[in-house]
Amino acid sequence: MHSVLKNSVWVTVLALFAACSSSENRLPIFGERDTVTKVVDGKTVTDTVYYKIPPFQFVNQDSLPVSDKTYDGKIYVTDFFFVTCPTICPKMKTQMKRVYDKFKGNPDVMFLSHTIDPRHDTPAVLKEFASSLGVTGTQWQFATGPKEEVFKTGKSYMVVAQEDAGAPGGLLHSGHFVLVDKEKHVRGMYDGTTEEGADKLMADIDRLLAEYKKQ
Amino acid sequence: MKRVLIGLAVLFLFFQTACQSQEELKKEKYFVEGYQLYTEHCANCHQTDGKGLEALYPPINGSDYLKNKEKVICLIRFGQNEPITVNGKRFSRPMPANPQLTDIDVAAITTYIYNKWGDETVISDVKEVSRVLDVCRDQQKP
Repeated sequence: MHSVLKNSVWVTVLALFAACSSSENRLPIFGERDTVTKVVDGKTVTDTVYYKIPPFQFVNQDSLPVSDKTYDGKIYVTDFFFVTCPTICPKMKTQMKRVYDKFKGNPDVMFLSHTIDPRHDTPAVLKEFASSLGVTGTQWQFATGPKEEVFKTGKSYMVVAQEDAGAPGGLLHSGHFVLVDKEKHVRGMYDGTTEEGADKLMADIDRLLAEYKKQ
Repeated sequence: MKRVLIGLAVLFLFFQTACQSQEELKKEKYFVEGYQLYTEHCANCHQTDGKGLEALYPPINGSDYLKNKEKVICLIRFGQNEPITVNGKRFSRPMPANPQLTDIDVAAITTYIYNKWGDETVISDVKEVSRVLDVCRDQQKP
Protein backbone atom coordinates (compact mmCIF):
# COMPACT_ATOMS: atom_id res chain seq x y z
CA MET A 1 0.00 0.00 0.00
CA HIS A 2 2.73 2.29 1.03
CA SER A 3 4.65 1.70 -2.19
CA VAL A 4 1.53 2.27 -4.30
CA LEU A 5 1.06 5.61 -2.61
CA LYS A 6 4.68 6.42 -3.13
CA ASN A 7 4.38 5.52 -6.79
CA SER A 8 1.32 7.63 -7.34
CA VAL A 9 3.06 10.58 -5.72
CA TRP A 10 5.90 10.12 -8.13
CA VAL A 11 3.53 9.88 -11.09
CA THR A 12 1.88 13.11 -10.01
CA VAL A 13 5.21 14.86 -9.64
CA LEU A 14 6.29 13.63 -13.05
CA ALA A 15 3.00 14.71 -14.58
CA LEU A 16 3.46 18.17 -13.11
CA PHE A 17 6.96 18.35 -14.53
CA ALA A 18 5.72 17.23 -17.92
CA ALA A 19 3.01 19.86 -17.84
CA CYS A 20 5.54 22.52 -16.95
CA SER A 21 8.04 21.53 -19.54
CA SER A 22 5.44 21.27 -22.28
CA SER A 23 4.48 24.90 -21.79
CA GLU A 24 8.11 25.91 -21.42
CA ASN A 25 8.84 24.08 -24.64
CA ARG A 26 6.71 26.47 -26.62
CA LEU A 27 8.72 28.71 -28.88
CA PRO A 28 8.66 32.41 -27.99
CA ILE A 29 6.63 34.89 -29.98
CA PHE A 30 8.77 37.73 -31.30
CA GLY A 31 7.86 41.38 -31.72
CA GLU A 32 5.92 43.99 -29.80
CA ARG A 33 2.75 42.96 -28.06
CA ASP A 34 -0.33 44.87 -27.08
CA THR A 35 -3.16 44.22 -24.72
CA VAL A 36 -6.76 44.64 -25.68
CA THR A 37 -9.46 44.95 -23.08
CA LYS A 38 -12.96 44.10 -24.11
CA VAL A 39 -16.19 43.18 -22.45
CA VAL A 40 -17.39 39.63 -23.03
CA ASP A 41 -20.65 38.45 -21.40
CA GLY A 42 -20.56 41.38 -19.07
CA LYS A 43 -17.01 40.58 -17.90
CA THR A 44 -13.94 42.60 -18.68
CA VAL A 45 -11.35 40.43 -20.44
CA THR A 46 -7.80 41.44 -21.27
CA ASP A 47 -6.16 39.74 -24.21
CA THR A 48 -2.59 39.91 -25.42
CA VAL A 49 -2.29 40.76 -29.07
CA TYR A 50 0.93 39.56 -30.65
CA TYR A 51 2.73 41.10 -33.59
CA LYS A 52 1.71 39.58 -36.94
CA ILE A 53 3.37 39.69 -40.35
CA PRO A 54 1.38 42.23 -42.40
CA PRO A 55 -0.01 41.31 -45.85
CA PHE A 56 2.38 41.27 -48.79
CA GLN A 57 2.07 40.64 -52.51
CA PHE A 58 4.86 39.56 -54.85
CA VAL A 59 5.43 37.46 -57.96
CA ASN A 60 7.08 34.03 -57.75
CA GLN A 61 9.48 32.05 -59.95
CA ASP A 62 6.56 30.89 -62.12
CA SER A 63 5.42 34.51 -62.62
CA LEU A 64 2.39 33.76 -60.46
CA PRO A 65 1.24 35.89 -57.53
CA VAL A 66 2.59 34.94 -54.12
CA SER A 67 1.14 36.66 -51.07
CA ASP A 68 0.53 36.24 -47.35
CA LYS A 69 -2.55 34.21 -48.43
CA THR A 70 -0.25 31.62 -50.05
CA TYR A 71 1.10 30.93 -46.57
CA ASP A 72 -2.23 30.90 -44.70
CA GLY A 73 -2.32 27.97 -42.31
CA LYS A 74 1.34 27.10 -42.95
CA ILE A 75 4.50 27.21 -40.92
CA TYR A 76 7.07 28.92 -43.11
CA VAL A 77 10.69 29.94 -43.21
CA THR A 78 11.70 33.11 -45.00
CA ASP A 79 14.89 34.89 -45.96
CA PHE A 80 16.32 37.65 -48.17
CA PHE A 81 19.00 37.12 -50.80
CA PHE A 82 19.98 37.82 -54.38
CA VAL A 83 21.13 35.45 -57.08
CA THR A 84 24.46 37.13 -57.88
CA CYS A 85 25.43 37.76 -54.25
CA PRO A 86 28.96 36.46 -53.79
CA THR A 87 29.21 36.50 -50.01
CA ILE A 88 26.69 35.02 -47.59
CA CYS A 89 23.91 33.97 -49.99
CA PRO A 90 25.55 30.76 -51.21
CA LYS A 91 26.00 29.76 -47.57
CA MET A 92 22.38 30.63 -46.80
CA LYS A 93 21.10 28.69 -49.78
CA THR A 94 23.26 25.70 -48.83
CA GLN A 95 21.71 25.70 -45.35
CA MET A 96 18.15 26.46 -46.50
CA LYS A 97 18.41 23.55 -48.93
CA ARG A 98 19.24 21.25 -46.01
CA VAL A 99 16.14 22.45 -44.18
CA TYR A 100 14.03 22.14 -47.34
CA ASP A 101 15.27 18.59 -47.98
CA LYS A 102 14.29 17.62 -44.43
CA PHE A 103 10.71 18.95 -44.71
CA LYS A 104 10.20 18.31 -48.41
CA GLY A 105 6.63 17.19 -49.05
CA ASN A 106 5.40 18.17 -45.57
CA PRO A 107 2.09 19.96 -46.30
CA ASP A 108 2.43 22.12 -43.15
CA VAL A 109 5.83 23.60 -43.98
CA MET A 110 6.70 26.09 -46.72
CA PHE A 111 9.60 28.34 -47.70
CA LEU A 112 9.80 31.87 -49.05
CA SER A 113 12.96 33.54 -50.34
CA HIS A 114 12.79 37.19 -51.37
CA THR A 115 15.24 38.64 -53.84
CA ILE A 116 16.43 42.14 -53.01
CA ASP A 117 17.74 42.62 -56.55
CA PRO A 118 14.54 42.55 -58.63
CA ARG A 119 16.20 44.27 -61.61
CA HIS A 120 18.44 41.25 -62.20
CA ASP A 121 16.39 38.53 -60.53
CA THR A 122 13.37 38.29 -62.79
CA PRO A 123 10.98 35.34 -62.36
CA ALA A 124 12.86 33.55 -65.17
CA VAL A 125 16.20 34.02 -63.39
CA LEU A 126 14.68 32.84 -60.12
CA LYS A 127 13.18 29.82 -61.84
CA GLU A 128 16.55 28.86 -63.28
CA PHE A 129 18.16 29.39 -59.88
CA ALA A 130 15.54 27.29 -58.10
CA SER A 131 15.79 24.37 -60.49
CA SER A 132 19.61 24.49 -60.36
CA LEU A 133 19.28 24.25 -56.60
CA GLY A 134 17.09 21.19 -57.05
CA VAL A 135 13.87 22.92 -56.00
CA THR A 136 10.67 22.17 -57.91
CA GLY A 137 6.97 22.73 -57.20
CA THR A 138 5.51 25.39 -54.93
CA GLN A 139 6.71 24.43 -51.45
CA TRP A 140 9.65 26.83 -51.76
CA GLN A 141 8.75 30.02 -53.55
CA PHE A 142 11.16 32.70 -54.74
CA ALA A 143 9.55 36.13 -54.66
CA THR A 144 10.35 39.28 -56.56
CA GLY A 145 8.64 42.67 -56.63
CA PRO A 146 9.30 46.40 -56.40
CA LYS A 147 12.42 47.04 -54.36
CA GLU A 148 10.66 49.30 -51.84
CA GLU A 149 8.06 46.60 -51.20
CA VAL A 150 10.76 43.97 -50.63
CA PHE A 151 12.67 46.25 -48.25
CA LYS A 152 9.45 47.07 -46.41
CA THR A 153 8.65 43.38 -46.08
CA GLY A 154 12.16 42.78 -44.77
CA LYS A 155 11.47 45.28 -42.00
CA SER A 156 8.23 43.50 -41.18
CA TYR A 157 10.24 40.32 -40.54
CA MET A 158 12.64 42.37 -38.38
CA VAL A 159 15.59 41.75 -40.70
CA VAL A 160 17.77 44.14 -42.67
CA ALA A 161 17.43 44.38 -46.45
CA GLN A 162 18.59 47.56 -48.11
CA GLU A 163 20.85 49.18 -50.69
CA ASP A 164 24.39 49.84 -49.54
CA ALA A 165 27.14 51.08 -51.83
CA GLY A 166 29.73 49.71 -49.41
CA ALA A 167 28.52 46.11 -49.52
CA PRO A 168 29.72 43.61 -52.15
CA GLY A 169 27.11 43.64 -54.92
CA GLY A 170 25.75 46.98 -53.68
CA LEU A 171 23.10 45.41 -51.50
CA LEU A 172 23.04 44.65 -47.83
CA HIS A 173 20.89 42.04 -46.20
CA SER A 174 20.88 40.01 -43.06
CA GLY A 175 21.79 36.35 -43.12
CA HIS A 176 18.85 35.38 -40.93
CA PHE A 177 16.18 32.78 -41.47
CA VAL A 178 12.87 33.77 -39.92
CA LEU A 179 10.41 31.14 -38.70
CA VAL A 180 6.74 32.14 -38.93
CA ASP A 181 3.86 30.13 -37.51
CA LYS A 182 0.36 29.46 -38.88
CA GLU A 183 -0.97 32.60 -37.17
CA LYS A 184 1.78 34.68 -38.84
CA HIS A 185 3.66 35.24 -35.60
CA VAL A 186 7.45 35.30 -35.77
CA ARG A 187 8.64 32.36 -33.66
CA GLY A 188 12.36 32.28 -34.27
CA MET A 189 15.39 33.91 -35.91
CA TYR A 190 18.36 31.81 -37.00
CA ASP A 191 21.81 32.41 -38.41
CA GLY A 192 21.30 31.17 -41.96
CA THR A 193 25.01 31.13 -42.74
CA THR A 194 25.96 28.31 -40.38
CA GLU A 195 25.15 24.65 -40.02
CA GLU A 196 24.36 25.21 -36.33
CA GLY A 197 21.81 27.89 -37.21
CA ALA A 198 20.07 25.59 -39.67
CA ASP A 199 20.18 22.69 -37.18
CA LYS A 200 18.47 24.88 -34.57
CA LEU A 201 15.85 25.92 -37.13
CA MET A 202 15.08 22.30 -38.05
CA ALA A 203 14.70 21.39 -34.37
CA ASP A 204 12.40 24.38 -33.81
CA ILE A 205 10.22 23.53 -36.83
CA ASP A 206 9.74 20.09 -35.27
CA ARG A 207 8.80 21.72 -31.97
CA LEU A 208 6.36 24.06 -33.69
CA LEU A 209 4.77 21.18 -35.61
CA ALA A 210 4.41 19.36 -32.28
CA GLU A 211 2.66 22.41 -30.77
CA TYR A 212 -0.02 22.22 -33.47
CA LYS A 213 -0.36 18.47 -33.08
CA LYS A 214 -1.22 18.89 -29.40
CA GLN A 215 -4.05 21.32 -30.09
CA MET B 1 91.08 10.32 -43.43
CA LYS B 2 88.33 7.96 -42.37
CA ARG B 3 87.13 10.51 -39.87
CA VAL B 4 87.05 13.20 -42.51
CA LEU B 5 84.97 10.95 -44.74
CA ILE B 6 82.54 10.19 -41.98
CA GLY B 7 82.40 13.87 -41.17
CA LEU B 8 81.60 14.71 -44.79
CA ALA B 9 78.92 12.06 -44.93
CA VAL B 10 77.32 13.40 -41.79
CA LEU B 11 77.49 16.91 -43.16
CA PHE B 12 75.95 15.75 -46.43
CA LEU B 13 73.11 13.99 -44.66
CA PHE B 14 72.56 17.00 -42.45
CA PHE B 15 72.24 19.35 -45.44
CA GLN B 16 70.03 16.93 -47.30
CA THR B 17 67.54 16.56 -44.46
CA ALA B 18 67.70 20.29 -43.88
CA CYS B 19 66.89 20.88 -47.54
CA GLN B 20 64.08 18.38 -47.47
CA SER B 21 62.50 19.94 -44.47
CA GLN B 22 62.85 23.36 -46.10
CA GLU B 23 60.82 22.01 -49.01
CA GLU B 24 58.38 20.34 -46.65
CA LEU B 25 58.06 23.53 -44.67
CA LYS B 26 57.34 25.52 -47.80
CA LYS B 27 54.71 23.04 -48.88
CA GLU B 28 53.12 23.07 -45.47
CA LYS B 29 53.00 26.85 -45.57
CA TYR B 30 51.42 26.89 -49.05
CA PHE B 31 48.89 24.24 -48.02
CA VAL B 32 47.83 25.88 -44.75
CA GLU B 33 47.57 29.30 -46.35
CA GLY B 34 45.73 27.75 -49.27
CA TYR B 35 43.27 26.15 -46.90
CA GLN B 36 42.60 29.44 -45.13
CA LEU B 37 42.17 31.34 -48.39
CA TYR B 38 39.96 28.60 -49.81
CA THR B 39 37.73 28.75 -46.74
CA GLU B 40 37.47 32.51 -47.03
CA HIS B 41 37.08 32.95 -50.79
CA CYS B 42 35.88 29.67 -52.31
CA ALA B 43 34.03 27.54 -49.75
CA ASN B 44 30.89 29.72 -49.69
CA CYS B 45 29.93 28.27 -53.05
CA HIS B 46 32.16 25.25 -53.62
CA GLN B 47 31.65 24.11 -49.99
CA THR B 48 34.24 23.11 -47.42
CA ASP B 49 34.36 19.56 -48.78
CA GLY B 50 34.81 20.91 -52.33
CA LYS B 51 31.77 19.10 -53.62
CA GLY B 52 29.88 22.17 -54.84
CA LEU B 53 26.11 22.64 -54.54
CA GLU B 54 23.64 20.88 -56.79
CA ALA B 55 23.66 22.33 -60.30
CA LEU B 56 24.46 25.79 -58.99
CA TYR B 57 28.15 25.57 -58.10
CA PRO B 58 30.38 22.91 -59.66
CA PRO B 59 32.48 20.53 -57.56
CA ILE B 60 36.26 20.83 -57.27
CA ASN B 61 36.61 17.60 -55.29
CA GLY B 62 36.36 14.80 -57.83
CA SER B 63 36.13 17.23 -60.73
CA ASP B 64 37.45 16.28 -64.15
CA TYR B 65 38.00 19.99 -64.81
CA LEU B 66 41.12 19.88 -62.61
CA LYS B 67 43.07 18.53 -65.57
CA ASN B 68 42.92 22.03 -67.07
CA LYS B 69 45.29 23.37 -64.45
CA GLU B 70 46.21 26.58 -66.25
CA LYS B 71 42.53 27.40 -66.72
CA VAL B 72 41.89 26.69 -63.05
CA ILE B 73 44.71 29.04 -61.99
CA CYS B 74 43.30 31.76 -64.23
CA LEU B 75 39.69 31.46 -63.17
CA ILE B 76 40.63 31.71 -59.48
CA ARG B 77 41.90 35.22 -60.23
CA PHE B 78 39.87 36.37 -63.23
CA GLY B 79 36.59 34.52 -62.72
CA GLN B 80 34.64 32.81 -65.43
CA ASN B 81 31.77 34.11 -67.56
CA GLU B 82 31.40 31.24 -70.00
CA PRO B 83 29.38 28.17 -69.06
CA ILE B 84 31.63 25.22 -68.17
CA THR B 85 31.14 21.46 -68.20
CA VAL B 86 32.27 19.53 -65.14
CA ASN B 87 31.89 15.75 -64.99
CA GLY B 88 29.52 15.95 -67.93
CA LYS B 89 27.25 18.52 -66.25
CA ARG B 90 26.86 22.04 -67.55
CA PHE B 91 27.20 24.96 -65.14
CA SER B 92 26.11 28.32 -66.51
CA ARG B 93 26.42 30.59 -63.50
CA PRO B 94 29.33 33.04 -63.78
CA MET B 95 32.08 32.85 -61.20
CA PRO B 96 33.12 36.27 -59.86
CA ALA B 97 36.71 37.40 -60.27
CA ASN B 98 38.97 37.71 -57.22
CA PRO B 99 41.26 40.60 -58.10
CA GLN B 100 42.19 40.99 -54.44
CA LEU B 101 44.09 37.68 -54.51
CA THR B 102 47.83 38.12 -55.07
CA ASP B 103 49.89 35.66 -57.16
CA ILE B 104 51.13 33.97 -54.01
CA ASP B 105 47.51 33.66 -52.79
CA VAL B 106 46.50 31.98 -56.05
CA ALA B 107 49.52 29.67 -55.81
CA ALA B 108 48.55 28.69 -52.27
CA ILE B 109 44.92 27.99 -53.23
CA THR B 110 46.05 25.99 -56.26
CA THR B 111 48.42 23.98 -54.07
CA TYR B 112 45.65 23.30 -51.57
CA ILE B 113 43.13 22.22 -54.22
CA TYR B 114 45.55 20.00 -56.15
CA ASN B 115 47.05 18.35 -53.07
CA LYS B 116 43.69 17.81 -51.44
CA TRP B 117 41.58 16.78 -54.45
CA GLY B 118 43.91 16.46 -57.42
CA ASP B 119 46.43 13.73 -56.51
CA GLU B 120 49.34 16.20 -56.52
CA THR B 121 51.99 16.06 -53.83
CA VAL B 122 54.08 19.07 -54.78
CA ILE B 123 53.48 22.79 -54.49
CA SER B 124 52.27 24.96 -57.35
CA ASP B 125 55.12 27.41 -57.11
CA VAL B 126 54.33 31.10 -57.25
CA LYS B 127 56.83 31.58 -60.13
CA GLU B 128 54.94 29.16 -62.33
CA VAL B 129 51.56 30.52 -61.23
CA SER B 130 52.67 34.10 -62.01
CA ARG B 131 53.71 33.02 -65.50
CA VAL B 132 50.30 31.44 -66.13
CA LEU B 133 48.48 34.47 -64.74
CA ASP B 134 50.51 36.83 -66.96
CA VAL B 135 49.53 34.87 -70.04
CA CYS B 136 45.87 34.97 -69.02
CA ARG B 137 46.01 38.67 -68.26
CA ASP B 138 47.36 39.33 -71.78
CA GLN B 139 44.62 37.15 -73.28
CA GLN B 140 41.96 39.04 -71.35
CA LYS B 141 43.01 42.37 -72.91
CA PRO B 142 40.88 43.14 -75.96
